[in-house]
Amino acid sequence: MNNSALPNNTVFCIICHQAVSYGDATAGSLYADNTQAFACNAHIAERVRWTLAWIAFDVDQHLVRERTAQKSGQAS
Amino acid sequence: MKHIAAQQQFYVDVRHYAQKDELSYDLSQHLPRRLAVGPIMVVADNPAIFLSVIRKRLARMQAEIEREHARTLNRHKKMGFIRELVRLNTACFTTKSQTLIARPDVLFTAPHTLAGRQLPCQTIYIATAVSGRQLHAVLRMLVPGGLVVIYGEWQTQYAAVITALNGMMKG
Repeated sequence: MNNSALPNNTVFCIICHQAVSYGDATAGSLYADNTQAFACNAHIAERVRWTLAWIAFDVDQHLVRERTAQKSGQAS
Repeated sequence: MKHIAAQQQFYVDVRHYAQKDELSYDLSQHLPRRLAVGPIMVVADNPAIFLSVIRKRLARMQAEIEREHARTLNRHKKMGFIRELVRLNTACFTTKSQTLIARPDVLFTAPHTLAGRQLPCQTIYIATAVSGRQLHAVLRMLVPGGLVVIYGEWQTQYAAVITALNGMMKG
């Protein structure tokens, strides 16, 4: 899930998977489609959880990019 | 994110802290997430000292990632940990904009050196008080869709700078 499905002024937290307001979120890395991903501000205090969740997110997006590249390679 | 600039040109995140320690902790947690996005600038009073503090914190983070890497058998998790360690180990952190490397990944700089600089950045951390003019110089280096993180209180003069800059971008 990314932010396009959410109401205005809310974003999806990639750590707790909840919709949060911009005021309670911070921008991190990018989705595979180069749109901005966010997480709740509160999670930054959870040192290990914050890092591990973002690393897992980055791997998922890397795999999505690879699959997309493979598909477009096959199509052409 | 405390403020989102009009036209979605960039994101502004105002982050509060009680002690300098909290600032360096917050920045060292956040910065690795932006490393993959693109070049980063950190504006601080004492760039060399601040860089050394951040390096220490990142070294501790790397040790934690290595521990997690050793603990898991999951192939995807291992891949993620290795990618993160490689990114942290190969990123160029410096206080000098003129280095042998064409473009550092993370440049630590003092506010008074901002005028006249043209270094497009995806992320800019402002870890010290800056004037309206300095903020203007910073924001002009931010690429569309970029993020500026301001540590401390939101200054009323900042809103005017952002409004003026948005007007320039629209025009």
